[in-house]
Amino acid sequence: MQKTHDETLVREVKEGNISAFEELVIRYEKKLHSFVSYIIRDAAAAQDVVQETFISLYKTIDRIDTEKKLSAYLFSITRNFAISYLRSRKIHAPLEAAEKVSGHDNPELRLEKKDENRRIQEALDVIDHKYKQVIMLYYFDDLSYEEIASRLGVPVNTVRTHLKRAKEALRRVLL
Amino acid sequence: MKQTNVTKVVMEKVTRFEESRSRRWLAIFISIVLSLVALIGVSFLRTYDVLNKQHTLDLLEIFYEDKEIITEFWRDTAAVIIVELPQQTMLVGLMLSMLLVVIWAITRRRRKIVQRRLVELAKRKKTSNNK
Repeated sequence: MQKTHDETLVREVKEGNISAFEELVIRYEKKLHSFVSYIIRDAAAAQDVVQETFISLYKTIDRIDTEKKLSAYLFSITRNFAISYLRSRKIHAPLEAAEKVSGHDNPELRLEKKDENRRIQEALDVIDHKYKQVIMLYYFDDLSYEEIASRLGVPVNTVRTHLKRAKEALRRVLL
Repeated sequence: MKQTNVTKVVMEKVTRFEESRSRRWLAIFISIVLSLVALIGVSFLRTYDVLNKQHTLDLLEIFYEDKEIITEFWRDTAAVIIVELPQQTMLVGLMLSMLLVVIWAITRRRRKIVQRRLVELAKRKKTSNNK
């Protein structure tokens, strides 16, 4: 059976078909959950973010342009909600996770590492959010350019440019 | 495709939101339409009342006469009736009628969408009550 296109489903929802929206939710729920989990590292919170995303989508669906790709829009608003969640919780999950894995027993070294991590985190907080996100997905989550581009709904060249600018910005802040 | 917990929660919230939104829209729409109908009714009743008091409508008895009399006098009769009409009241009534027609026409698509949503919401409620 051929899957109904996203754009057709969006048009159906605009015409009052609520079941079409349910199909969209079922279709994208897992993908968005995986995407958000990488950003916020909390399965329960990721579920809340995904729920918020879909509810926001429903409320604004009349304004969506059916000519444009729904998936890009969906990932974009999901990312925004995830970032809002991180801002409200001030979570530094990737660096904390890195510290736990390091396994250094030397207290001096641990302190030094902690201080370095703090400086890097402070620098990341200063730079633009879109650059910070690319840095974290590339270095902490070890994703390729193509994977990052797909996650964020942007072209691969944009990811390359953002990464280059992120490194330049970090260099300026840290030096 | 299997419905997960997230889907269930999202659809519950969406259903509640849509129910509230659609009912609110319908209530506003019905209020506006009923208000306009009431105002139109009042203006035409007022017009009839004025014409009745002036005995203007008695002039219409000419149309019970012979064909030759009607042919000869209908223009003069019509002119008198037009002069005696309470023009302001009638104008208001006509404008309100036009407004009602315009509102009915421009909300046609929206009414269909709201109707479809409410029907689907009712089906969902019935399905969830049966479970």
